[in-house]
Amino acid sequence: MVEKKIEIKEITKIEGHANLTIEIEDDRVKRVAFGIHEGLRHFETLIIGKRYHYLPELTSRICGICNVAHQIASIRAVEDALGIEVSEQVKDLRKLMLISSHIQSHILHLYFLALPDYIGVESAIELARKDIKLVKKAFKLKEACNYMTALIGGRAVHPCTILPGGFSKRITKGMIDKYLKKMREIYPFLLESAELFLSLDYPPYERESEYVALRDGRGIPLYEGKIATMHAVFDAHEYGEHIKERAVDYSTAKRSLIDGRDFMVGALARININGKLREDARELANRFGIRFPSNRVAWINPAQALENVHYAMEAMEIAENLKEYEPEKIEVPRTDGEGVAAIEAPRGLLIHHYVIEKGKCRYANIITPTAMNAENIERSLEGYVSKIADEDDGFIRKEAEKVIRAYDPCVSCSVHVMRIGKMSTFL
Amino acid sequence: MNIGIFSLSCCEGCSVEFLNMEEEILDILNHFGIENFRLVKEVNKLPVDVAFVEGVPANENEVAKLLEIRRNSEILVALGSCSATGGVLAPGAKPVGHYVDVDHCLYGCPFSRDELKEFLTSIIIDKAFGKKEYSVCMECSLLENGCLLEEGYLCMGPITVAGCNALCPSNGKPCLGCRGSYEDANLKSHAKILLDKGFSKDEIIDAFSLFSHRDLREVIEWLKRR
Ligand code: SF4
Ligand code: SF4
Ligand code: SF4
Repeated sequence: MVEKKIEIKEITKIEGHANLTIEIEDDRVKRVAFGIHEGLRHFETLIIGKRYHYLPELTSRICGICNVAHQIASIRAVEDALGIEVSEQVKDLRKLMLISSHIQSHILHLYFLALPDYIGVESAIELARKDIKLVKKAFKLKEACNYMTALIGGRAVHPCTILPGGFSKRITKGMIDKYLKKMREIYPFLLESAELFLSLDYPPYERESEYVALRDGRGIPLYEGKIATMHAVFDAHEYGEHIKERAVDYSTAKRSLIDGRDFMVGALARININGKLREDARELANRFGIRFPSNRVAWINPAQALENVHYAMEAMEIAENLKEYEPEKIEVPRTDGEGVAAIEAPRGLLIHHYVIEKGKCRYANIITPTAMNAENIERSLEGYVSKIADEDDGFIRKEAEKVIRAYDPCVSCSVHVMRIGKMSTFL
Repeated sequence: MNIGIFSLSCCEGCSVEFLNMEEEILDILNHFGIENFRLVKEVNKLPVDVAFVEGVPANENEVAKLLEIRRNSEILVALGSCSATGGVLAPGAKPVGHYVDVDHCLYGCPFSRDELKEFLTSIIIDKAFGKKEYSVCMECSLLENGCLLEEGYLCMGPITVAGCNALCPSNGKPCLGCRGSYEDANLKSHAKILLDKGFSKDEIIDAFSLFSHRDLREVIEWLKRR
């Protein structure tokens, strides 16, 4: 009997701290464990007792990358709980923020975390020594996205203008035009970058899987919609009946199953569930022979690159028709209520659920994309490694890392919760 | 000279903000090598000359990691409020300075890029770098923003250390105090002013506990006793 164990104590180029253990016996996979060993940050308990208008500010600090998504999920859950009306104009402005931060997150992932694996460098810093133009382009795209988010949000990391029912500042026509101009300016680069990420040589592994994303029947929604799987559609308020969380002893983060199955959320899931890519993105996919729905796990990368094009088109359309926003006094009809919001963060579905009493948070449950993906990541690793188990350790390790990175896991997001019991496998 | 960006438990927003320096990073690379940055690098080394640490240790493993970083760095900088004061995590966590000596703090959630540039410049030209000794209000009045406190909002500007160019009030939102309080801030007097303005004890405690729980512990206790 030949046994081998591949261990990665600290997976680099992902957000947060995670490890991987693969045990192989006679070229057969015995065990795969994707463990998260980051300390817990008890966010749900941190926000209990806090006034409702602080909830978006506090939950924003769950994640430094998808904080716009957290803020908007949070404010929508508060608005749902307290019956606060939101105008179409405010929704559109929020969508613009979601889109620019979405593209920036994808760019960060594609160029800085994923790309080094495919061109054989250790990091984008090393890449900068070889191809400074490419890295500069990536920085330019990120910078442009941050600029657009900050136009509306005040700053890109933890924006400071989002309020129940609206924004704290006037958003002038001039600002909206600047947003539009910037998006038009980077659009050709987003197309170019999609060509790059559609042409890389990805691991071929495919696995039939359940996919989950928002659906509104019109496009690929980020802001609101019903929750759809490949088999069912339900209202966000019913999430608790379908999505169940469980704990495993080698990871500090919770994991979720939907109707008893592991599932994938994120860019590939969104396109698989909705189809409906806008013209330019669809044309690109056709040109490179990429078809959806697809079970090819590593195609999460091209799916992100296509989303960049799709959402940029959507943002330009929204911005073209948007009027100046003037802050107004918001009516808060009640101080008690229960609210749920499901939105699409860059890495997938994100749910915030609060109970508010006398204006203060009494209960909170937040389910993040990486918590939803964790089980799926492990099953995919198991499946792929089984196929390549007779290869040498270095190859298995590299391929496993590619698969993990494709999911763009965000550990910071997934360890926001309190769990009783062992803190870490390393203790 | 080389630097490292290390991450303990936190939102990693400060790492992201570091990357958000975009092309300036490429300039920084002309002066410093980045030897350690797990978010974007596969090969990460110690020792480093300057270690930037974001987040707080949330388990023994992370405490050990922090001690190792301290042993292997000339200058240790607490990057962002989590690390410098405990930030939003303060009710359950202790700042980095509780475990090791910290040479400099860059406050803010996330830290201010301008201040980081100031700090890096101070290293290159070997100049002193210190904490600002005035409030966000100073910056806010220089910008001639209308005062939100006077308009009836609970603003933490008067006791919060400057350096963000009064970002939130400039965007129409009261300051949440994310940078922590400055040296001579009169914390109790701010609490009294807020009480006089008609805010409830409870509301004030809520605001004081958001980001600066540790700094403001005494005033919070004092308010509770009132
Ligand atoms: S200081 Fe704020 S932005 Fe920085 S890591 Fe902590 S929570 Fe995130
Ligand atoms: S708005 Fe806040 S920070 Fe600005 S002057 Fe008034 S109290 Fe100070
Ligand atoms: S205004 Fe206050 S809350 Fe806003 S960034 Fe500055 S210190 Fe932080």
